[in-house]
Amino acid sequence: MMFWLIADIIKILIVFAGLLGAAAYLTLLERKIAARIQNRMGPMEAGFHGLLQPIADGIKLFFKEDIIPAGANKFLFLLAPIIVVIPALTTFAVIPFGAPVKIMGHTVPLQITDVNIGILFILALTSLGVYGVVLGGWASNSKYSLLGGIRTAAQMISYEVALVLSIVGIIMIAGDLSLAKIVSEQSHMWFIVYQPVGFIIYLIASTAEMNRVPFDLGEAEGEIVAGFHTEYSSMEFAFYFIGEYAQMVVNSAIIVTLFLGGWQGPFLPSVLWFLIKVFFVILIYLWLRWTYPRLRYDELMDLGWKFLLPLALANIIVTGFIMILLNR
Amino acid sequence: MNTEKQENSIIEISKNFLVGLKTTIKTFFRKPVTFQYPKERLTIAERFRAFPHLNVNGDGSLRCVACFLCQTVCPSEAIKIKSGYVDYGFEHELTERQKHNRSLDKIKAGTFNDGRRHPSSFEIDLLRCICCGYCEEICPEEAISLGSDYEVAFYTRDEGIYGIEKLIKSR
Repeated sequence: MMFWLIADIIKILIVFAGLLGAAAYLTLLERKIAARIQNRMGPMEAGFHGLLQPIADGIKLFFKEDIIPAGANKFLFLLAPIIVVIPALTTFAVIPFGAPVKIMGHTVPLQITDVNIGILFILALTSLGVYGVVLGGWASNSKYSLLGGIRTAAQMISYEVALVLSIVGIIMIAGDLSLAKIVSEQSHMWFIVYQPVGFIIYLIASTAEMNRVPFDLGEAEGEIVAGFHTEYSSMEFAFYFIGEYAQMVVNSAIIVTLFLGGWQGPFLPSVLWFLIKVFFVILIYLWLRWTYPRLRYDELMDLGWKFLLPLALANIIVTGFIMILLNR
Repeated sequence: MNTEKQENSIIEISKNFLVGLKTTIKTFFRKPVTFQYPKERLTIAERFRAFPHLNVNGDGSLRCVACFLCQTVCPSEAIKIKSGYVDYGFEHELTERQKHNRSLDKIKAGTFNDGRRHPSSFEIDLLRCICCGYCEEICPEEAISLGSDYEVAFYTRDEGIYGIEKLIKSR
């Protein structure tokens, strides 16, 4: 009993620290990639090739003045960034990040908890993130924040549908909602081979879900200053950023788990395989961000409802049809 | 230019998406064109024109003979010259009129006496100077030429007006 408690706490601490560190260093990675794509060098001054830049940014944000605008709903204003961060970090609880290891005669699964409805848990938590954005937009008492919040809410709800439907094909093939089972089902063949369309829909919809370019309508800096986090400063602003980047890590981890065989891979240790795959999916997200311009709002809705949703539905029907034909 | 409306088929759109991705991944592997400015510097071209400076002879005397050509030609009126002493040299036989010229008395002792007129003050307002090179072009004595020092900064506008000493020292 005591062993499991300690093992769980250690796992939680590792995941928590890993996620926060990854979120911090993703800012650097993002800036570096952006710089290279635009033929620049990116941060070079703080540390070797800017390696200490995230720490410098963190310290700077920590000592910035904490501004709460007049007329803002103080409680909700402070609550909103927390609501963004917590679900993003919590989602990782059900993601298996390595093969089970043997410690002192016990087989410890490298997953904080194996919920048998893992996918539902993930979907429920990721959609909670929208509350943080909407509350932040509303509580700021600013027209730009409100516009950003409303836009983001509509966008997230629209893309949630396609996101969920794109996973259904995976669930049909794996026959289970537990993520550990889904990973072990992929020991012969990654699900991206069976579900390429589902993968693409999930990639696009999750980009929209994270409010990233080309779907960053909610914080479109050319139109509505910074959208829902216009009025935020200091650590609250940092929380929004941590939330956004942690969500990116988590989404990449979900993609790896569902489509790219999770931690499975030859030769290298399983945790390393997991990290490598997550890193490459993150690179894809960054690549997309620095390639495409922002969509117009009606284009965004068109893409969500008129293209991704029918495509996801068709994907489910075709998957089911083929499964019946192959008699699985 | 082709003004026909493009066909918006899904194949066409996704092809364009892939072209975008290809372009960015290509630039990703290219060498950055920027350089770390204070640490690395661009090599300056030979004919680079920065701010003007005054040339001196081998013995340290000014080449400028205060002919006012550069002040006249300067399009932005950056050059202000005051004609100073005229010195006629030791071996020159002075005319009656020149003997009555007292301007030489003002010269500090030990100033080199080369038998020419010189400016008493020569000022270039670097904030006005447009580095056009007209002064260098027109100067009959090759006394003024444009250097290569483009990193000029000062705290006040007055510091931007360079006198003779500063103009000689600047590159």
